[in-house]
Amino acid sequence: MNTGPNTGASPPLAKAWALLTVSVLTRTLREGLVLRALIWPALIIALTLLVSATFVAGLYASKSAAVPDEAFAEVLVAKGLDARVYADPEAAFVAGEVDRAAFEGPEGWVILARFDGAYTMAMESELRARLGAAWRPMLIPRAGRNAALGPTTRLLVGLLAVLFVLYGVVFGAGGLSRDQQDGSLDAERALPVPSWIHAASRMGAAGLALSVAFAASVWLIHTILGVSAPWAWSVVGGLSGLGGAAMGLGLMARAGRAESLSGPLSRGLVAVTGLMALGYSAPALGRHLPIASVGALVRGDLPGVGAVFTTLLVCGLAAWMFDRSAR
Amino acid sequence: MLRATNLVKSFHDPAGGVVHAVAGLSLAVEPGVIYGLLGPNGAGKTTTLRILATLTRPDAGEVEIGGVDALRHPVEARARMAYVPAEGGLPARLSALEAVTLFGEVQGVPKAKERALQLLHELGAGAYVERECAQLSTGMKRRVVLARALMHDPGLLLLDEPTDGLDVQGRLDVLQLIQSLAAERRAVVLSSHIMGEVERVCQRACIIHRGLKIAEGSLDELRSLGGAEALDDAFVALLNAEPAP
Repeated sequence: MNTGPNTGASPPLAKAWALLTVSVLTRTLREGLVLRALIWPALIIALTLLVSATFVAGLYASKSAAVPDEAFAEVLVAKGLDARVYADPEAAFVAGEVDRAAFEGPEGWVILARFDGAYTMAMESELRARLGAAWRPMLIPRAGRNAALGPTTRLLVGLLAVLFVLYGVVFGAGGLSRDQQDGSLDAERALPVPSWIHAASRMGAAGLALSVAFAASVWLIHTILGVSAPWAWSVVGGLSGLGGAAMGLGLMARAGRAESLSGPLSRGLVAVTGLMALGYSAPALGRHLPIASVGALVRGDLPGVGAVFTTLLVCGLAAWMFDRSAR
Repeated sequence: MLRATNLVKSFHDPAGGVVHAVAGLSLAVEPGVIYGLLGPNGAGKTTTLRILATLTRPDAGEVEIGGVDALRHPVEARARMAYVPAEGGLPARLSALEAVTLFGEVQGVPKAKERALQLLHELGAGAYVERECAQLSTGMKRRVVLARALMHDPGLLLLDEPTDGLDVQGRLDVLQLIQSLAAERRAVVLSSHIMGEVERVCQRACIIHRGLKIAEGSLDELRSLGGAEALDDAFVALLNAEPAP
């Protein structure tokens, strides 16, 4: 047996933290279930949106219209419709040859349409102009898709953020419970580094994995739909995932080996759900708190700088609880 | 190398009572000595080892490892020893080489990967270095765990039931390894409730019962104290001589 160097010297803390964080991250990402949990929500949302968009686009793709005279057809063609002159536009519509028809009936002008939407509205507008009506609908181009879709995408990304916060609690509590059970936590704790480093590395790994996966999800949805303040969402989601992991880890450490995973996990899930509800109902306060800032952002309140400090405070508290659990 | 004095540790049980896991235990282990910590299940062996490993803080007492006050300076003390928990403590999703190398790197061992490979080969796990720890046999896990413990060449090894779950050959191999470690002037403390393996490797031992040390000495002295030729019989006689709680 060879013997190596026994320096008896403590390694640099930053290096030890980085090595342990990478190790925890590697172990976490090698769990197929974890990796799928991080990737699938965004992929499912993106796929659902793309399928919906394809379906809707197909539905509204028809530009066909039947009109009774050439002048009206020319005006509509200029608006992008595929308008043609028919002797009996109504018959053409009923026969399914076109999806829109305009004609003068016994009681006045009529528009028949299978779909609402921009082309049908353009047709109505031109008909009203042609008849000299007192009013006509106007199509005003959107100022930007973000503003128009804001509430919808906020809700969509908000739900995703809620999921990642819950993941954080599961990662924090579940990872520690697993390491307690298989003895790897004790083995690591016997290393010549301060005990809180092990809490910090676990929170760092969970925070990193959740932040990257959540930010990628946000930007994927942003690419498809447009998300208002995607950077704010990325920061809030990452911080809240880290906060959730810290809460899960702290509660599991406090429970120690005497309690199984289910107790601390359920307490953590209740706590983060309560915080998010607080942020939603009191966004002015919630925007400065970890996890609660998700609820505030769903309401449209951007996070305050205080959220960063309070998240770090929660992480510090979790590390302290972890350190205390060894006593 | 190791000196523990009047260690006391109590826990609250779920019923609201107090369990005295360790009650005034003292022990000293010199380099090159394999010291057995014997006792029935629940005697306080693991709690004692966890206190020595600085993983559990005692309510009272002192621990000195390699001249360092382990309670006041746990980080410095840990650099001089290695603790191997009964569960092994290998992360399931890391390979054997990754798990061993990590411990070397965190402890600042130069060329940690080369040293990890060397140790794994020397301990007979060379063919399994790339295999995930979860897929290793119990015996192979023990070898990997020992390689990890030796990465920084500690002067003191704390082994909690190191042969637990091993078959006969695996047990003999691990005991042989432990003897070779002590031959390199390391102090080894191992907990066990198997008298046969204690007789095979330990020079000194103490018997713990309900957190109290009821006997200590060389194996011959323990046999003599128990009034029996076999250590098994002496162990049982000494336990039975203790008054019921």
